[in-house]
Amino acid sequence: MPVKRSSATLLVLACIALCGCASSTAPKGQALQFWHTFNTQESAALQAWLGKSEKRQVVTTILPFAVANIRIRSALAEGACPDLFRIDSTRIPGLVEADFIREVPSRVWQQRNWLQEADDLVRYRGTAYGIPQSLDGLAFIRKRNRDILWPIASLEELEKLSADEGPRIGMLIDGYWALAFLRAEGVTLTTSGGPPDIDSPGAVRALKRFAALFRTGVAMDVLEERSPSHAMIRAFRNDDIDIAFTGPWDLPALADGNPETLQVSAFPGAYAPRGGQVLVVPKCTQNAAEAWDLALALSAPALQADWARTLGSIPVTRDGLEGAGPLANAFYQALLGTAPMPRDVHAPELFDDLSPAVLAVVGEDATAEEALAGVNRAWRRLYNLPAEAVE
Amino acid sequence: MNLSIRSRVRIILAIAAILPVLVVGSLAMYRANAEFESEVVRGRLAQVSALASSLDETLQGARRSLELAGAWWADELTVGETNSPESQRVMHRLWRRLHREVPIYSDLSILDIDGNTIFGEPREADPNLGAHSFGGFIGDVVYDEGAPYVPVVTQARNRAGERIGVLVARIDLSFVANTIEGVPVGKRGRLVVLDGRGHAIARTDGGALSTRDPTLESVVQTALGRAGEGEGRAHGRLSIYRSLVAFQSRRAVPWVLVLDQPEAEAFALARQAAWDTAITALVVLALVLVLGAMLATQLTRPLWLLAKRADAIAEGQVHSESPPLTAPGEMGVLAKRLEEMAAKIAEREALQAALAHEDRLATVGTMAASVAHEINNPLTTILGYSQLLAEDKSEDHPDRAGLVLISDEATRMKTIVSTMLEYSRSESGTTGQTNLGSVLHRVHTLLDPALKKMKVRLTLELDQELPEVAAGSQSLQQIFVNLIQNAAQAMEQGGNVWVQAKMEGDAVVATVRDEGPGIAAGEQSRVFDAFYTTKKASQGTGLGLAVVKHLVSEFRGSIEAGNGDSGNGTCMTLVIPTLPSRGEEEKV
Repeated sequence: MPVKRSSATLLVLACIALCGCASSTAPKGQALQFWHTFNTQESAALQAWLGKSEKRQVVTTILPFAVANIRIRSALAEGACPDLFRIDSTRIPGLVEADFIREVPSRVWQQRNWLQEADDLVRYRGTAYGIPQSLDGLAFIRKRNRDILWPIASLEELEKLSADEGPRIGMLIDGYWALAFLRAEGVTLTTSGGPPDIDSPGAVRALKRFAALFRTGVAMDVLEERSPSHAMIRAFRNDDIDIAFTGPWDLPALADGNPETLQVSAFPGAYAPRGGQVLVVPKCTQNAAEAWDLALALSAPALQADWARTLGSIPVTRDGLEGAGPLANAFYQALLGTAPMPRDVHAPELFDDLSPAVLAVVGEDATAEEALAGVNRAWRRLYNLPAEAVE
Repeated sequence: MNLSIRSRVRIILAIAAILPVLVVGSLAMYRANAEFESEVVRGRLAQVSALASSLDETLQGARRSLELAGAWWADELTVGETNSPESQRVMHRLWRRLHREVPIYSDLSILDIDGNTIFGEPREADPNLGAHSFGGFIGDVVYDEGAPYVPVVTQARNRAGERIGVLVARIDLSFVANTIEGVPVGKRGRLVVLDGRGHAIARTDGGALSTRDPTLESVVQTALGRAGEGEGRAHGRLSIYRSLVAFQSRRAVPWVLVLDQPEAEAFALARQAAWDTAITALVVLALVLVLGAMLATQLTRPLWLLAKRADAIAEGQVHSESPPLTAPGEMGVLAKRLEEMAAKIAEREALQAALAHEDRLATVGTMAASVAHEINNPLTTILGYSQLLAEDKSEDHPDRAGLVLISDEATRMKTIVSTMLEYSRSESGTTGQTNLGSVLHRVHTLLDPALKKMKVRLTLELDQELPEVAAGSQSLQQIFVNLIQNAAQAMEQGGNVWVQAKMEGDAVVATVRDEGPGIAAGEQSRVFDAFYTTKKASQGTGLGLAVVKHLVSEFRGSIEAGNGDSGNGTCMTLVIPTLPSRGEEEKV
């Protein structure tokens, strides 16, 4: 029967085609282990992207942001080796000093037109140790229709905002948020070349100014254990605050589907912190080439632009920024008015002691002098400065 | 395929019933099944999420308690006095209180700012333990002689936020097994709690702890790769997971809860419901098909009867024995038209038969006339000579009897020939304007001698004022002579013959009635056929009534044969049209 014969032929061809397709998409070898610190929405986007575009199997493991460094370092020390991991850029000096991570091969690095700010993220002592994945930092965000002084040109203008109609600005009571105020008073955070200046009169003044914003009601505390972002977004959407002092990760939720309603401006004086997330390949991996490929794929301009629009992830390449939409570009412009975090092994740990001190001062459990003296002692221990120096 | 209309309607109704049921039913079942399964998954997700939240809250509550304890302890001390007796009393009190309020804590160690253990079991720990974890964290699961526990670390800070020391406590995870023990997971289902490395912490199926479970590898990998909850299906099993991974702060507990169950068991209720729905649908379908078949029968019955009737008509049975078909609407109209068509066919057949009969009679008449004319002359010669020879013979001459017999038979033959000639010439003289009474009186006079011989008494009963009839006198005379002779001959012993004539409507109705045996049932329609006779061969030719019928039809009258009112005797009823009045003629 001709019909049956042709059907059989089609069936065979279909099988061949299916086999061909299956073999072309099959994993080439062992699955890549990718540990990351993406949040819930970013994780979902990552899984969706991997589902659509993976050329080899990738097994992802989510690491809580707060303990990512601890877990990665303990895993690397124990020989449990991911092929690629995403971590905060401030961790690079520590990982380099521990000899855990690889330099980026020049052939990999040259494949993207990196932004200077992205280059800063991964470079330590002149060498790039990772692929930039996203930029972040703190900036002011407001709704266009809010009646408030805009842009805020100085700290004095911020302090003069009237609290008669309720809090005007939402921010966390945290060392990272207080950093801009410290820098505005000349505090450097760095310890190179001498003892820390964290208990200097300028630092005390800065902390007092920061705490005063909450005391006068100008600033609203959005500290919430489960998710500070949720509290910030809720207050912003409800118009309980006029300005959100936050990072780009909150942009989609703050925009609530209408990015054109938002405006972004930098914290006055280029004092706000800037950082970002990087993709790092550990030395222990046997799949470095594939890991760099995956890292490059995650920094591809199209994906970066897409994630900028949907997740508020600020692109790390010029090409990615071009397609990222006006809101992400506005935030990037604001980031140009920030200062990068210190490139120091202990820089991330500075905040472990600074943040509780800030909380104690804002909560009026301690004076700024008392709190910052404690921070000074802690930082000296951190940097192994001689005890005499404490006195 | 030659299917009856009833079969076709049944098939159409069946298709009309089956197709929607199958298509819509399948879609509805598919959708309902998906919804059912989705509901099951949602229910399982809610179950797992609630359980996960319960576990998480227990751990977070314990962590918060330790943080509070650490803060209280740090505020109670002054830097540098951690080893004083008072400090030791404070730490013992702290531990007693903590263990009483949070019994899942099985151990507590306190480290001073330099990393020295000042309370509890010695710990080799970095003095910066908990650094950049927002002051503390819940560690990975550790197994101590097979018993799982989790360390909780919190940096103890005083009111100024300064770190005084570190608290490291152990949470005995046996409570996890107790928590999930009573959770309903189905006979072949299992609930497994796994740590961030995919190692089982507790499980309801009695499987191995502190190792990876290959059967859960896929779903655990998926769960560890993302926050939140989800489902996975593989190898006929449904796996619902909830990851406790939190992005932010100290809540980070990278645990995963997996509720794993065979799909057949998980969706048993949903699938049973689907089956029940399917069976119900099939029963309904069967009922619909039966009702459809009945409906088809009812709908097509008129058509079937019409078809049957049409078949009968086609076979020549134009007269139906059944009552005419009635049906509503177009079907009724069709039935009516079919019956009308049958009636017209019957009428046409009758006409054709009559024409054929007439044609045959005409042929016979022509032939008879020809034959009669040909034999009439020799017959006359035979008769003449036989009579002459007979007259020449004496009465006792032996040839005389033979000659008389020849003469009598020749005379009878001549009579027959004359009758045949009359039949062939019957078209002439059939129309005209005649006084029927005169004709009847003349016939009476003519036949009277012969009737007397036959002991038959003829009685005329005529209306006083009979109008003139539209028929020729010759025809009428011939008609009544034939009818009266027939009546007389029907009575072998003699009897009465009555002729009545009266006006009825626009015609004169005349009857000729006798006291004979009458006409047998079934013969009444044949008596007018040519050559049909019940008389002896020597008495009749079978043409008398045929001639009468022919003549009557010529002047557009009618004649019917029947029996008398009492059932005895023959009664011929003759309708003779009268002439129209002058006024009517003018109208015409």
